[in-house]
Amino acid sequence: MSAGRLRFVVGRLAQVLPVLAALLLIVVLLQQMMPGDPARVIAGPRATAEQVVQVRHELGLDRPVFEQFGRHVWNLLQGDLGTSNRTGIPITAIVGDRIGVTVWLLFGGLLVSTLLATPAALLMALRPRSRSARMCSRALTIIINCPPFWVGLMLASVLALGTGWLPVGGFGVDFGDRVRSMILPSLTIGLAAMPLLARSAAASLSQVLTADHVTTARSLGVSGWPLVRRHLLRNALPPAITLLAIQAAALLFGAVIVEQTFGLPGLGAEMITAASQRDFPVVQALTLIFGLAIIAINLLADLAVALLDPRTTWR
Amino acid sequence: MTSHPLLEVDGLRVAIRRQDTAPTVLDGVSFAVGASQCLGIVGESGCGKSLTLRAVMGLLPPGIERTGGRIRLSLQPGAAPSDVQADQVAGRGLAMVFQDSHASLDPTMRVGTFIAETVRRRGGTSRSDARRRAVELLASVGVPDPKLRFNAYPHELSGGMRQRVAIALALATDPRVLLCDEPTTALDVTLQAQILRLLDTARAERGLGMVFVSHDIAVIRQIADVVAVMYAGQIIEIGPVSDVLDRPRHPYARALIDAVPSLDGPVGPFRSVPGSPPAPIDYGSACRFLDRCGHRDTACEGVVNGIDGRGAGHRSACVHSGTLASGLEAT
Repeated sequence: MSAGRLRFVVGRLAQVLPVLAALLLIVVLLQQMMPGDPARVIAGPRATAEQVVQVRHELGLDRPVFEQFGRHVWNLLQGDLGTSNRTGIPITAIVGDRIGVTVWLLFGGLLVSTLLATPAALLMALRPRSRSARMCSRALTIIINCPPFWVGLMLASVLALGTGWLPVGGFGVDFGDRVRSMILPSLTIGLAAMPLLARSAAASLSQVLTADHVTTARSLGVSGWPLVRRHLLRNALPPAITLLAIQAAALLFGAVIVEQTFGLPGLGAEMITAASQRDFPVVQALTLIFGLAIIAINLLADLAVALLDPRTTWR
Repeated sequence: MTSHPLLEVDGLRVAIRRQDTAPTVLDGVSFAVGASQCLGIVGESGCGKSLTLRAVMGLLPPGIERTGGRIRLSLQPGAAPSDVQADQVAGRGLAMVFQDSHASLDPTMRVGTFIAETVRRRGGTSRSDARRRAVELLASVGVPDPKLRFNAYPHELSGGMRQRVAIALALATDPRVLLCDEPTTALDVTLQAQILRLLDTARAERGLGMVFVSHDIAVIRQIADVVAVMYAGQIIEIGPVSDVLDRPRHPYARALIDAVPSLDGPVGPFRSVPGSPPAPIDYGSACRFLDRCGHRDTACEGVVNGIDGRGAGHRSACVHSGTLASGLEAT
């Protein structure tokens, strides 16, 4: 690894620390900023003012913010996400139950969007003036303007209700049911993420196609698959990867909505339930997990780009 | 010119593909290059110099197409040139060196690996032999520490070094004819001289044919044996370098050469060729320099074709070249 790349990797890893600290701070402060009093929620509607004060003291909510922050971080380091206000179940158990659904949903969405975006990008990059490329571009504009919850409902009413092949919602018990119940949600998320991916991949491909260094490679007799693999893809991938990572946040947000739309027991649906019930520890923990996921995805994307592009250096 | 030419281009025509029209941008360009010979092509921007090289290599940009003409290439030493398809000659007999070495080398590939892969593409070379050959090539184009530079990426090299690498890449295909598209334009004058010497050595040692496009007349004088002047997609004058550059016959060639400021001439405003070349859509059958020419008369409005650059001697497309030759020399 060259010095510049090494510097990039070290610098980029170091950059994660302040971002992590900021994320933790925001997650803890979230509690201060949210409307409603968690102590009041736990104590119940009929509790006296004294009881509420008592509960607040037990939870440590009357402590200074810094102390709460320190305690929170300390607990996290020990793998303790806290317990639900409502049910008293440890949040690690809730997350463990539900994270699988969300992860599979995201993978499904990524798979769908890649499968749809790749041919669209190739078409728009290689035959930009063709009729089909223009139609493809128009279709992308329409798709990108459709909100995911609406797309989900449409898919459910047309594909599920219309044919009866696929479940409208819920998460089956056996494996086959579960796979079938993931199809429409994955399609919904994939469709939401696909237009931007297709457009950015098409843009970076068409830029590389006419790049001088590709002409040079062709002048040396490189053609066909070696040209695509050695010279086109390697130069066109980094911008697409970066954009995909930036989209990760939107994809996660899409998952929250889609889980709710299709009644899937994932982290997103749990987040909505917890928020509506003022179950603050759960909201906090899930916000933290989503934040960590986005940090990790962006870190991985940047490292992948550094691996592909030798010019990467720390600025 | 003792035996066959290495490369023969006959009536090359290239057009821009539009929906309703197809304006011709190269209109019957013909020339030939022999072993160890260098043909220079000069002309102002947009006259079709680079496009000629691209068309011969089969590397025309999207939307531009070859609509006619034949390309013949001698594939074996001593063999007569035979017809070739434009998309079969790149890296197989023809190689090209480009202007901008920064943009023209793949940023994601180590230069040595790129050269070694290019060597291997010709077949029959083992991986380790190809590596050795790449180091030799880097050394032969004057890259210091070739073993160390083998692992360098293009952005880690200076402009002059990158252009040397680009030349090594072209030579790795073992070409018969090397096409040079302003390879020294982006370099400072000292480097320019070094790169020109390098190309000249390669030509002499390998018996390369060379086509050298430039708008720099001083560079052409240094490297070329024969020079063709292009205007609006045609060759309008061709001949031995000293004849054309010192005694141009076409009014455009005269104006172009006069526009070069001279060190020992009188100090005065820079001279330029007034006006600009016609757009390809306006190319007619008449002389295309007509509107900018001080010698125009009715004869210029008849059919005036570009000249066939394959013959020998100093020739001009101007209908008045016979009468003008002496007069132009006097100005």
